[in-house]
Amino acid sequence: MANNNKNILEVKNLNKEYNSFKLKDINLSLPKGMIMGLIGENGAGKTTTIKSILNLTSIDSGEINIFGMDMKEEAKKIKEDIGVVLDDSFLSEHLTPKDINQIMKNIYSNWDEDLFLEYLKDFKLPLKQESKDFSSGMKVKLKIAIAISHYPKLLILDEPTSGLDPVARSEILDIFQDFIQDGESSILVSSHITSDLEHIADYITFINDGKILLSKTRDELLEQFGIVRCSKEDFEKIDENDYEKYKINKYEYDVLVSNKKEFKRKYDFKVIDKPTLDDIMLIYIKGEK
Amino acid sequence: MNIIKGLLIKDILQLKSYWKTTIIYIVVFTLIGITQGTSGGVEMVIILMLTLGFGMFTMASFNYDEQAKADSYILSFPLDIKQVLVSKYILVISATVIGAIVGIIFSIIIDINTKAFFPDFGVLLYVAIGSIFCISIIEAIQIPCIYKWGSEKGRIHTIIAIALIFLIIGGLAIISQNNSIIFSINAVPNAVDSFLPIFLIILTALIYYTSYKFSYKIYESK
Repeated sequence: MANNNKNILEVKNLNKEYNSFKLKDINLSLPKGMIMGLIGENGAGKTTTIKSILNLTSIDSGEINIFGMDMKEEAKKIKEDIGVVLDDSFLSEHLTPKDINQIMKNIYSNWDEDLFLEYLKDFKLPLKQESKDFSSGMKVKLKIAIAISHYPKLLILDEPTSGLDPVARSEILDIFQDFIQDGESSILVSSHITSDLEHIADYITFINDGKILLSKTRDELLEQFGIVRCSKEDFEKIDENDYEKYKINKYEYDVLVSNKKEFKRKYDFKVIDKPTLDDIMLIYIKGEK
Repeated sequence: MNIIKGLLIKDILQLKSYWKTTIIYIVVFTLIGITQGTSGGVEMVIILMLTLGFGMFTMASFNYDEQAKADSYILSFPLDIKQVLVSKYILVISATVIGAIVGIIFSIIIDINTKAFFPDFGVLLYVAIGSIFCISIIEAIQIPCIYKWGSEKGRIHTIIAIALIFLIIGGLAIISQNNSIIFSINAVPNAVDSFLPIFLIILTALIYYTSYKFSYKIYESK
């Protein structure tokens, strides 16, 4: 499948409304060889965005292009080259990895049985044991082994690390980084565990209440953004246009600024802290303006 | 076709825990048949019950998918809704037909055992076709109901739908009896009688096809 476009995934003006929830004008671009982390609190719209991209739910308007093809028109062809891990949906737990291999070799034309068995061995997953007896970490590893055993060019993962201990999470993050090593494959991964994405994601897209609040490279985000911790008096001296949001703590104000350098030039604040993704998310969601 | 094969393998492997139950079911009904002899149309009961049993066992595959919330995951494969539905209908229809065939085989075994002469294969075939037709009505109602309301509620709606059908048939029977209209199988001319199995096969196919169309509409709108 020849795709000269440098973006493996492009989402343009995606809109979807159901019940009281709305996805509003979602725009995303994921270049080849990159990992994009989709962050946001529970119910922000991460899963709906992923399901819309995968054509698992109908959309009201917008365009989804993957490998340079329209998802609506070429869904079957596109899905041959996508590996998927969904948080809330999988095969029956009465199936063993051996059963799953039997199924998948009929589903994906590129399915590599030997590769799958190799992953099972690497991940220490028993071949003939029903997955209902697996730990959470083993289940996630099984899902990932399935997702990458047909040489996909794009992995779409919804909360793959939720409920896992730090060791299992770290192992899984290593798998993701190995996956993109060829420079041609990409990953779109949603997670509310932002520390995971801080380690592996090249791009961070922050969704809140169905809208994209920001989508930037991780370095841009963590280097350009800053948190000014100041008193009420100092805060009142800051122009409203010079900060994103602020949050009142017990003894101080946490003010999120999107251009640390510019802010330093304009104001005489000695310390501007480097934020974590959690800090940014928290102030955006809980803060005021 | 490979994808449908993959989905069928999924369902068959999911149902492996049911195979023991299925064997017990077959043994129990065969034993009943052997102990009852041929009086009272035991073959008919065996064929009908095995057709029903096999057909209904496969319905558990819907439960397994529902428990795993497998729909979204399956639809992330390179396939379309039609292939998902076709695989389910193939599974259910095949199991129903296999049930009828197993029923015929066991009836023949019982007949040979008890009568000591070769049984009337034609009659057994008629009974099998009739059984498949009856079970197809239940399945044809149940599958779209499961897609619409899920396994649990779908079962209740199926029971209500079948009860309604029986009520309508019963009502018609009472009305015809009160008006001295008598329906008898003997009244059916021989020519029509000999076409009855073919007619039932066509009707069964139509029933499944209509059910598939309903399921497709329901699944698509979901």
